[in-house]
Amino acid sequence: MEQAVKAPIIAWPLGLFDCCGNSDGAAVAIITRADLAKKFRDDPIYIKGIGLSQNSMMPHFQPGFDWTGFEVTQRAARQAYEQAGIKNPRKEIDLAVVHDCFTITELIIYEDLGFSPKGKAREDVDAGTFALDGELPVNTDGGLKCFGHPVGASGLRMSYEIYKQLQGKGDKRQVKNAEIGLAHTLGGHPSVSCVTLYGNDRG
Amino acid sequence: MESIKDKIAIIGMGCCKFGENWDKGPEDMIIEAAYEAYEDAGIDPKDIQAAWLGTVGAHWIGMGGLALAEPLKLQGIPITRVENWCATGHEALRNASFAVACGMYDIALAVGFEKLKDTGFPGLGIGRGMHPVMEMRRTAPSTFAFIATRYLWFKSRGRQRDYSQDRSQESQKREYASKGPFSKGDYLGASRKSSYYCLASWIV
Repeated sequence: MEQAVKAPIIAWPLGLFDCCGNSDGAAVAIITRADLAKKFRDDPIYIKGIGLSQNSMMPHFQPGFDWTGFEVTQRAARQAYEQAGIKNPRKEIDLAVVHDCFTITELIIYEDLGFSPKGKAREDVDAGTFALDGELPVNTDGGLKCFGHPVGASGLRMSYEIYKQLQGKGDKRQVKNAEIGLAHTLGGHPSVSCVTLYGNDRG
Repeated sequence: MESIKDKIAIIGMGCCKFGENWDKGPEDMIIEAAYEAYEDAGIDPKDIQAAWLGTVGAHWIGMGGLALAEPLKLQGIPITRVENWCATGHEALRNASFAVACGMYDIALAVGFEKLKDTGFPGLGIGRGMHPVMEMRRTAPSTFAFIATRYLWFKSRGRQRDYSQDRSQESQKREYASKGPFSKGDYLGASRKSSYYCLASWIV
């Protein structure tokens, strides 16, 4: 903590450890139709919803942009929740891996995804809501701060963590009784967001 | 509109070690991740019927699917390259899912990769601003710094996104200058301790 607080400022108020690094990586998923899945393994992971949204190359020039939330994440989440039939994301989702490119981004994502009421993410963080043993564990694998951000690979790296967790292969990080997981990416200025939902039961 | 819910199953995944992989090229990382996924799914590479590749570094690997065809010897099947900013990896999975859901393919591969170290990549968003004057040299950290100051400002004023009370930008700027919350000194320190760094990532 001390090291993080005293780290050099990159762009005030964000210090070095508020920012994720650039890195290298690759991640792969093999998919099939749900009705064929059990031929391959006993514990396939099913896709429950995929939402994708984009707004503008310069979203901050739009009249409604207020610098305290990302419309694209809210819209992508709404699409994915609708497909999956999720009404209360905080209660119904068991774990999430989100695009924490900067510390402030993660705080805002909690609100945009409906995990926290608007403006209340900090209170939830203080209460341990998103800790590994909390109500809704987030970034159980360490997130972008841990892996860096190899741009094209990050989305599938997040899905990889959800996939392993939903199969109960999370090792020391295993979230108890994880059945529904969310992976979220955010990009551009920020102009693009994708929200994906996974489950271990075909329902 | 139909839902993708329960139409697609992931039967195998792989992920190479992320980080500053000075000793690896993109091919090495793709092979490492793909063969972990093949093994996990218990399938042969020959079972793959179509592939989607997500990457944004196409200026040096070419715009098509060759970056995947070569290392995985997937010559002969359709490979589609997709790109959508930082959502690129998910975009590959999304498009592969639709192709399988419609019945065109039974088994498809979604791959995301990026090789930034050792390629002369200077960092995301150097001079990323699209406006020639107002956004000169705006970077990713500076964009999110704006968001952080704005967010904390709203919070410190107890006006959590009450848009109805928004003043014009100009008067806000003046207010910033005269009695900004950060001049009080303590707010940022407090929030950094209790809010920001509790978010610090787990390593294990």
